[in-house]
Amino acid sequence: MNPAMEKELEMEIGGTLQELPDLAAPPALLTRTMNALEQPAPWHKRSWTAWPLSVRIAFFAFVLAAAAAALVEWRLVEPALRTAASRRLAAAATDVKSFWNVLSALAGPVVQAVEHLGKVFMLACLAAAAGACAVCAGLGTILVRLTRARPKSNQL
Amino acid sequence: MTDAKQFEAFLRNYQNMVFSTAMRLVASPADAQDISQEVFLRAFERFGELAGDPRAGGWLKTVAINLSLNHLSRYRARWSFFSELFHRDEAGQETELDYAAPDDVVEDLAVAERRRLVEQALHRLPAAQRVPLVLFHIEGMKYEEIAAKLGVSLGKVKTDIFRGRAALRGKLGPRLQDHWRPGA
Repeated sequence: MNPAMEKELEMEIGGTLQELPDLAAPPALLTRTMNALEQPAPWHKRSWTAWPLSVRIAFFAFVLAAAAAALVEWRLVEPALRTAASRRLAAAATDVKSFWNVLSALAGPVVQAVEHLGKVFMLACLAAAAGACAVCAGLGTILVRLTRARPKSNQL
Repeated sequence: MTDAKQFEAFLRNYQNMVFSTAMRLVASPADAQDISQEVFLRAFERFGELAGDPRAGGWLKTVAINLSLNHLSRYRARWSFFSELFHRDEAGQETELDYAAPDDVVEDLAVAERRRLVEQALHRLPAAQRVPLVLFHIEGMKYEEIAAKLGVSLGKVKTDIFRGRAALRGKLGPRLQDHWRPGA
Protein backbone atom coordinates (compact mmCIF):
# COMPACT_ATOMS: atom_id res chain seq x y z
CA MET A 1 0.00 0.00 0.00
CA ASN A 2 1.45 3.38 -0.93
CA PRO A 3 1.79 6.19 1.67
CA ALA A 4 -1.14 8.16 0.23
CA MET A 5 -3.49 5.19 0.55
CA GLU A 6 -2.14 4.49 4.03
CA LYS A 7 -2.89 8.09 5.02
CA GLU A 8 -6.36 7.82 3.54
CA LEU A 9 -7.00 4.62 5.50
CA GLU A 10 -5.75 6.26 8.69
CA MET A 11 -8.06 9.25 8.18
CA GLU A 12 -11.02 7.06 7.35
CA ILE A 13 -10.67 4.64 10.27
CA GLY A 14 -9.50 7.36 12.67
CA GLY A 15 -12.53 9.50 11.82
CA THR A 16 -14.84 6.54 12.19
CA LEU A 17 -13.49 5.53 15.59
CA GLN A 18 -13.29 9.04 17.00
CA GLU A 19 -16.93 9.59 16.15
CA LEU A 20 -18.03 6.68 18.33
CA PRO A 21 -19.89 7.93 21.40
CA ASP A 22 -19.55 6.37 24.84
CA LEU A 23 -21.28 3.05 25.34
CA ALA A 24 -24.00 2.91 27.95
CA ALA A 25 -22.78 1.18 31.08
CA PRO A 26 -25.01 -1.70 32.18
CA PRO A 27 -27.45 -0.65 34.93
CA ALA A 28 -26.01 -3.40 37.14
CA LEU A 29 -22.67 -1.60 37.35
CA LEU A 30 -24.00 1.14 39.59
CA THR A 31 -25.83 -1.29 41.86
CA ARG A 32 -22.99 -3.75 42.25
CA THR A 33 -20.40 -1.04 42.83
CA MET A 34 -22.50 0.63 45.49
CA ASN A 35 -23.18 -2.76 47.10
CA ALA A 36 -19.46 -3.55 47.09
CA LEU A 37 -18.80 -0.23 48.82
CA GLU A 38 -21.47 -0.81 51.43
CA GLN A 39 -20.50 -4.41 52.10
CA PRO A 40 -16.76 -4.69 51.63
CA ALA A 41 -15.45 -8.22 51.17
CA PRO A 42 -14.31 -10.01 54.37
CA TRP A 43 -10.61 -9.65 55.09
CA HIS A 44 -9.78 -13.21 54.02
CA LYS A 45 -11.19 -12.55 50.53
CA ARG A 46 -9.10 -9.42 50.03
CA SER A 47 -5.43 -9.18 49.01
CA TRP A 48 -2.80 -9.73 51.71
CA THR A 49 -1.96 -6.03 51.79
CA ALA A 50 -5.57 -5.22 52.75
CA TRP A 51 -5.66 -7.62 55.71
CA PRO A 52 -5.86 -6.13 59.22
CA LEU A 53 -2.44 -5.49 60.74
CA SER A 54 -2.91 -7.98 63.59
CA VAL A 55 -3.88 -10.75 61.14
CA ARG A 56 -0.90 -9.94 58.96
CA ILE A 57 1.47 -10.15 61.94
CA ALA A 58 -0.11 -13.44 63.04
CA PHE A 59 0.16 -14.82 59.52
CA PHE A 60 3.79 -13.75 59.24
CA ALA A 61 4.57 -15.40 62.58
CA PHE A 62 2.82 -18.57 61.45
CA VAL A 63 4.82 -18.67 58.21
CA LEU A 64 8.07 -18.18 60.13
CA ALA A 65 7.14 -20.95 62.58
CA ALA A 66 6.22 -23.29 59.73
CA ALA A 67 9.52 -22.58 57.97
CA ALA A 68 11.47 -23.19 61.21
CA ALA A 69 9.59 -26.44 61.83
CA ALA A 70 10.29 -27.58 58.28
CA LEU A 71 13.98 -26.81 58.74
CA VAL A 72 14.21 -28.71 62.05
CA GLU A 73 12.30 -31.63 60.58
CA TRP A 74 14.65 -31.72 57.61
CA ARG A 75 17.69 -31.84 59.88
CA LEU A 76 16.17 -34.76 61.76
CA VAL A 77 15.22 -36.89 58.80
CA GLU A 78 18.13 -35.95 56.51
CA PRO A 79 20.46 -38.92 57.36
CA ALA A 80 17.69 -41.47 56.96
CA LEU A 81 16.58 -39.86 53.72
CA ARG A 82 20.11 -39.88 52.36
CA THR A 83 20.47 -43.63 53.01
CA ALA A 84 17.09 -44.37 51.45
CA ALA A 85 17.87 -42.20 48.43
CA SER A 86 21.24 -43.85 47.76
CA ARG A 87 19.59 -47.27 48.00
CA ARG A 88 16.94 -46.25 45.49
CA LEU A 89 19.50 -44.71 43.16
CA ALA A 90 21.52 -47.93 43.20
CA ALA A 91 18.37 -49.90 42.29
CA ALA A 92 17.55 -47.46 39.50
CA ALA A 93 21.12 -47.69 38.17
CA THR A 94 20.76 -51.47 37.97
CA ASP A 95 17.53 -51.08 35.96
CA VAL A 96 19.18 -48.59 33.60
CA LYS A 97 22.13 -50.95 33.12
CA SER A 98 19.91 -53.88 32.17
CA PHE A 99 17.91 -51.64 29.82
CA TRP A 100 21.16 -50.51 28.20
CA ASN A 101 22.20 -54.15 27.74
CA VAL A 102 18.92 -54.94 25.98
CA LEU A 103 19.34 -51.91 23.73
CA SER A 104 22.89 -52.93 22.84
CA ALA A 105 21.70 -56.41 21.96
CA LEU A 106 18.95 -54.98 19.72
CA ALA A 107 21.26 -52.46 18.06
CA GLY A 108 23.40 -55.20 16.51
CA PRO A 109 20.72 -56.51 14.10
CA VAL A 110 19.63 -52.92 13.27
CA VAL A 111 23.18 -51.97 12.29
CA GLN A 112 23.42 -55.12 10.17
CA ALA A 113 20.08 -54.29 8.48
CA VAL A 114 21.24 -50.74 7.67
CA GLU A 115 24.47 -52.09 6.20
CA HIS A 116 22.55 -54.65 4.19
CA LEU A 117 19.80 -52.34 2.86
CA GLY A 118 21.98 -49.30 2.32
CA LYS A 119 21.92 -45.81 3.78
CA VAL A 120 19.87 -44.35 0.92
CA PHE A 121 17.01 -46.76 1.52
CA MET A 122 16.97 -46.03 5.27
CA LEU A 123 17.06 -42.26 4.67
CA ALA A 124 14.16 -42.60 2.22
CA CYS A 125 12.19 -44.53 4.89
CA LEU A 126 12.88 -41.80 7.44
CA ALA A 127 11.82 -39.08 4.96
CA ALA A 128 8.61 -40.99 4.17
CA ALA A 129 7.81 -41.27 7.90
CA ALA A 130 8.44 -37.55 8.41
CA GLY A 131 6.24 -36.76 5.39
CA ALA A 132 3.44 -38.94 6.77
CA CYS A 133 3.62 -37.11 10.12
CA ALA A 134 3.44 -33.74 8.36
CA VAL A 135 0.43 -34.85 6.31
CA CYS A 136 -1.35 -36.07 9.47
CA ALA A 137 -0.65 -32.79 11.27
CA GLY A 138 -1.85 -30.80 8.25
CA LEU A 139 -5.06 -32.79 7.89
CA GLY A 140 -5.71 -32.49 11.62
CA THR A 141 -5.26 -28.70 11.48
CA ILE A 142 -7.61 -28.42 8.49
CA LEU A 143 -10.19 -30.55 10.29
CA VAL A 144 -10.01 -28.41 13.43
CA ARG A 145 -10.28 -25.18 11.40
CA LEU A 146 -13.25 -26.51 9.43
CA THR A 147 -15.13 -27.74 12.50
CA ARG A 148 -14.51 -24.53 14.46
CA ALA A 149 -15.06 -22.09 11.57
CA ARG A 150 -17.99 -19.71 12.04
CA PRO A 151 -20.57 -19.42 9.29
CA LYS A 152 -19.98 -16.51 6.89
CA SER A 153 -23.35 -15.01 7.71
CA ASN A 154 -22.10 -14.07 11.20
CA GLN A 155 -19.41 -11.83 9.79
CA LEU A 156 -19.88 -8.18 9.01
CA MET B 1 -25.34 15.37 50.52
CA THR B 2 -23.66 12.34 52.14
CA ASP B 3 -20.48 10.80 50.79
CA ALA B 4 -22.39 7.81 49.40
CA LYS B 5 -24.84 10.03 47.55
CA GLN B 6 -22.03 12.18 46.21
CA PHE B 7 -20.14 9.14 45.07
CA GLU B 8 -23.25 7.71 43.40
CA ALA B 9 -23.64 10.94 41.44
CA PHE B 10 -19.94 10.82 40.56
CA LEU B 11 -20.32 7.20 39.42
CA ARG B 12 -23.37 8.03 37.30
CA ASN B 13 -21.45 10.86 35.71
CA TYR B 14 -18.44 8.79 34.66
CA GLN B 15 -19.72 5.22 34.36
CA ASN B 16 -20.30 5.34 30.58
CA MET B 17 -16.83 6.70 29.90
CA VAL B 18 -15.12 4.15 32.15
CA PHE B 19 -17.16 1.23 30.85
CA SER B 20 -16.55 2.25 27.20
CA THR B 21 -12.81 2.51 27.75
CA ALA B 22 -12.64 -0.95 29.33
CA MET B 23 -15.10 -2.50 26.88
CA ARG B 24 -13.21 -1.33 23.79
CA LEU B 25 -9.95 -2.69 25.16
CA VAL B 26 -11.04 -6.05 26.56
CA ALA B 27 -14.01 -6.64 24.21
CA SER B 28 -15.96 -8.53 26.84
CA PRO B 29 -18.96 -6.98 28.65
CA ALA B 30 -18.48 -9.07 31.80
CA ASP B 31 -14.77 -8.26 32.08
CA ALA B 32 -15.40 -4.60 31.26
CA GLN B 33 -17.97 -4.46 34.07
CA ASP B 34 -15.53 -6.05 36.55
CA ILE B 35 -12.82 -3.60 35.52
CA SER B 36 -15.20 -0.63 35.78
CA GLN B 37 -16.23 -1.70 39.27
CA GLU B 38 -12.58 -1.98 40.30
CA VAL B 39 -11.89 1.49 38.86
CA PHE B 40 -14.71 3.00 40.92
CA LEU B 41 -13.69 1.13 44.07
CA ARG B 42 -10.24 2.66 43.71
CA ALA B 43 -11.79 6.03 42.99
CA PHE B 44 -13.78 5.76 46.24
CA GLU B 45 -10.56 5.39 48.21
CA ARG B 46 -9.41 8.73 46.78
CA PHE B 47 -12.80 10.33 46.54
CA GLY B 48 -11.70 13.16 48.81
CA GLU B 49 -9.19 14.28 46.17
CA LEU B 50 -11.24 13.39 43.08
CA ALA B 51 -14.57 14.95 44.04
CA GLY B 52 -14.84 18.26 42.26
CA ASP B 53 -11.47 17.88 40.57
CA PRO B 54 -11.73 18.54 36.82
CA ARG B 55 -8.95 15.97 36.25
CA ALA B 56 -11.04 13.17 37.77
CA GLY B 57 -12.13 11.99 34.31
CA GLY B 58 -8.53 11.71 33.16
CA TRP B 59 -7.58 9.82 36.31
CA LEU B 60 -10.46 7.39 35.85
CA LYS B 61 -9.58 6.86 32.19
CA THR B 62 -5.92 6.18 33.00
CA VAL B 63 -6.86 3.67 35.71
CA ALA B 64 -9.39 2.01 33.38
CA ILE B 65 -6.76 1.68 30.62
CA ASN B 66 -4.14 0.31 33.03
CA LEU B 67 -6.51 -2.21 34.61
CA SER B 68 -7.73 -3.32 31.17
CA LEU B 69 -4.18 -3.83 29.93
CA ASN B 70 -3.29 -5.70 33.14
CA HIS B 71 -6.32 -7.89 32.63
CA LEU B 72 -5.34 -8.61 29.03
CA SER B 73 -1.73 -9.39 29.86
CA ARG B 74 -2.78 -11.63 32.75
CA TYR B 75 -5.02 -13.75 30.58
CA ARG B 76 -3.09 -13.51 27.31
CA ALA B 77 -0.50 -16.12 28.19
CA ARG B 78 -3.15 -18.51 29.48
CA TRP B 79 -5.50 -18.30 26.54
CA SER B 80 -3.46 -17.11 23.57
CA PHE B 81 -2.80 -20.59 22.19
CA PHE B 82 -6.46 -21.54 22.06
CA SER B 83 -7.66 -18.12 21.01
CA GLU B 84 -5.18 -17.95 18.14
CA LEU B 85 -6.13 -21.47 17.08
CA PHE B 86 -9.83 -20.70 17.10
CA HIS B 87 -9.60 -17.09 15.82
CA ARG B 88 -10.09 -15.74 19.35
CA ASP B 89 -12.85 -17.05 21.52
CA GLU B 90 -14.67 -13.75 21.98
CA ALA B 91 -14.74 -13.18 18.23
CA GLY B 92 -17.79 -15.36 18.01
CA GLN B 93 -19.69 -13.55 20.72
CA GLU B 94 -22.51 -11.31 19.61
CA THR B 95 -22.57 -8.61 22.22
CA GLU B 96 -25.51 -6.28 22.39
CA LEU B 97 -24.21 -2.78 22.82
CA ASP B 98 -26.15 0.29 23.80
CA TYR B 99 -24.97 3.84 23.46
CA ALA B 100 -25.42 6.49 26.06
CA ALA B 101 -28.54 8.52 25.23
CA PRO B 102 -27.76 11.74 23.35
CA ASP B 103 -28.28 14.95 25.24
CA ASP B 104 -30.52 16.83 22.89
CA VAL B 105 -31.90 15.01 19.84
CA VAL B 106 -33.09 11.51 19.16
CA GLU B 107 -30.27 9.59 17.50
CA ASP B 108 -30.77 8.80 13.88
CA LEU B 109 -31.36 5.06 13.69
CA ALA B 110 -29.14 4.55 10.65
CA VAL B 111 -26.23 6.28 12.36
CA ALA B 112 -26.79 4.21 15.51
CA GLU B 113 -26.84 1.04 13.46
CA ARG B 114 -23.59 1.95 11.70
CA ARG B 115 -21.97 2.72 15.04
CA ARG B 116 -23.11 -0.64 16.35
CA LEU B 117 -21.51 -2.31 13.32
CA VAL B 118 -18.25 -0.44 13.87
CA GLU B 119 -18.22 -1.43 17.56
CA GLN B 120 -18.86 -5.06 16.71
CA ALA B 121 -16.17 -5.06 14.03
CA LEU B 122 -13.77 -3.50 16.52
CA HIS B 123 -14.53 -6.16 19.13
CA ARG B 124 -13.91 -8.88 16.59
CA LEU B 125 -10.37 -7.75 15.90
CA PRO B 126 -7.65 -9.77 17.62
CA ALA B 127 -6.46 -8.07 20.82
CA ALA B 128 -3.01 -7.51 19.30
CA GLN B 129 -4.60 -5.19 16.71
CA ARG B 130 -7.59 -3.86 18.65
CA VAL B 131 -5.70 -2.60 21.70
CA PRO B 132 -3.14 -0.38 19.90
CA LEU B 133 -5.85 0.79 17.49
CA VAL B 134 -8.12 1.88 20.35
CA LEU B 135 -5.26 3.50 22.26
CA PHE B 136 -4.20 5.43 19.16
CA HIS B 137 -7.49 6.51 17.61
CA ILE B 138 -9.89 6.62 20.56
CA GLU B 139 -7.63 7.38 23.51
CA GLY B 140 -5.39 9.66 21.46
CA MET B 141 -2.10 8.16 22.60
CA LYS B 142 1.09 8.50 20.55
CA TYR B 143 2.88 5.53 18.99
CA GLU B 144 5.74 5.85 21.48
CA GLU B 145 3.38 5.94 24.46
CA ILE B 146 1.56 2.86 23.22
CA ALA B 147 4.83 1.00 22.68
CA ALA B 148 5.94 1.86 26.22
CA LYS B 149 2.56 0.95 27.70
CA LEU B 150 2.38 -2.41 25.93
CA GLY B 151 6.08 -3.17 26.27
CA VAL B 152 6.58 -3.80 22.56
CA SER B 153 8.67 -2.15 19.86
CA LEU B 154 7.58 0.97 18.02
CA GLY B 155 7.64 -0.93 14.74
CA LYS B 156 5.29 -3.58 16.08
CA VAL B 157 2.84 -0.93 17.29
CA LYS B 158 2.80 0.74 13.87
CA THR B 159 2.39 -2.58 12.09
CA ASP B 160 -0.41 -3.73 14.40
CA ILE B 161 -2.26 -0.43 14.04
CA PHE B 162 -1.93 -0.55 10.26
CA ARG B 163 -3.15 -4.17 10.18
CA GLY B 164 -5.96 -3.27 12.56
CA ARG B 165 -7.14 -0.45 10.30
CA ALA B 166 -6.98 -2.69 7.24
CA ALA B 167 -8.83 -5.49 9.06
CA LEU B 168 -11.48 -3.10 10.33
CA ARG B 169 -12.03 -1.70 6.87
CA GLY B 170 -12.16 -5.26 5.54
CA LYS B 171 -14.82 -6.20 8.10
CA LEU B 172 -16.89 -3.09 7.45
CA GLY B 173 -16.26 -3.14 3.73
CA PRO B 174 -18.65 -1.10 1.61
CA ARG B 175 -20.71 -0.07 4.65
CA LEU B 176 -17.93 2.23 5.75
CA GLN B 177 -17.17 3.70 2.35
CA ASP B 178 -20.71 4.10 1.08
CA HIS B 179 -22.55 5.21 4.18
CA TRP B 180 -20.25 6.24 6.94
CA ARG B 181 -19.19 9.82 6.94
CA PRO B 182 -17.57 11.02 10.15
CA GLY B 183 -19.74 13.66 11.70
CA ALA B 184 -22.80 12.41 9.83
